[in-house]
Amino acid sequence: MRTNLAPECRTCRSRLSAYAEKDLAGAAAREVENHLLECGLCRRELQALEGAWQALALVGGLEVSPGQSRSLAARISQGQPAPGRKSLWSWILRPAYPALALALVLLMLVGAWMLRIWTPAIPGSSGSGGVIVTLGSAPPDPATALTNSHPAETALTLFGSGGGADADGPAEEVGNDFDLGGSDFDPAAQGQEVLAGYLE
Amino acid sequence: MEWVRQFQAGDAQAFNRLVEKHHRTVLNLVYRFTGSAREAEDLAQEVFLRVFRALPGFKGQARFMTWVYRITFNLCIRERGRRARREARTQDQESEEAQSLVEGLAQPGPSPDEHLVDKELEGAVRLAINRLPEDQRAVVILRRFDDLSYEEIAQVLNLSLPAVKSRLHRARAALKEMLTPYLEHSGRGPGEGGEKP
Repeated sequence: MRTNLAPECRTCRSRLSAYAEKDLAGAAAREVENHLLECGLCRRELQALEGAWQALALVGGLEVSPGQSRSLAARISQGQPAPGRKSLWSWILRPAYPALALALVLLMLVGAWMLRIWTPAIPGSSGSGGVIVTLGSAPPDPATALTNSHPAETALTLFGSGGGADADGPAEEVGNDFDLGGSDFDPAAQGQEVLAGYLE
Repeated sequence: MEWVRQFQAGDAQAFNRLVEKHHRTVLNLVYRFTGSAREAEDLAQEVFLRVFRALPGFKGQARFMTWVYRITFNLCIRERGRRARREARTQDQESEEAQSLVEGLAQPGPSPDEHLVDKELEGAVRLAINRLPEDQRAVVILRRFDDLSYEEIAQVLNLSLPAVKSRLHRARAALKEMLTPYLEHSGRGPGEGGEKP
């Protein structure tokens, strides 16, 4: 279409945008104005240019409240990213949180299970000893227990094997099952025997 | 500039005042350049983060806003480059939408009410801005919406004065080509009430 234009129209249109921008002065501006007075096509072209430029005003903008601006400034000042904006580290770590928590729980469970497996059973320790004390029913007399100077004797007293004031009756019945030698019992020798048995 | 100096002197509140004053300008600059409100919010935050970090070293050789505009456009162009692949699909959709709009205009039906025409025209204007090459789009936005002089635009975009004028004139011509059919359809075209040749 432009190839069919008269040379004056072509010259005018090459300057039309600058003219519309009021960026044309002197002789060039006068030439355009003179041509526009006599050429309806070029006038139309100028109207189209200005109409398109004015139409840009139809594009609205975004509104910002003072609160939003203050919030943004505060986030930046405190070095915190906005809720919608993820930092590199949060991006890296966030998906790992549930897996990390699960792994920690599993690790603790496995650790506890392995501790149970690998802890050696101590003879006469709380496990079986506790049962024996329960079966001995009557609690030992602290005074009697304290009179026995040898630790093994103290242990026997706690087991209720005899000698204690409260070890009669039921204690004797149950005590038969755990007869460690009665009054002839030599704690040191018996301990060595038990130890040797375990070592074998 | 007073707030800039106060911030450089250690007044943290001065930064809040700077953000409050320029937040809307930066947000809309990005919004018009990218066409996305969500992207505008993210990038505006990034702009102010950079301003916050770089402000202690700001020498005041350029106007503060010229400097902020430059940061904004550098960031916009870099981000657009990063997201180019993702946007290719969207642009295809936009092209299809634009094509359907143009086809619709070629066979105008009954005249819709004024509100719908305005909405359609607004969409067409947004699309036209987005379809401008980035260098022309930046010049148009700074000139039309932010009312910057040629010299200021040249400073912001690091261009010569003739380059700014040339881009602006090409952009105006391109906008006219894209928008005239919509303007004519809405009764705002040059043929409406204008003199016939």
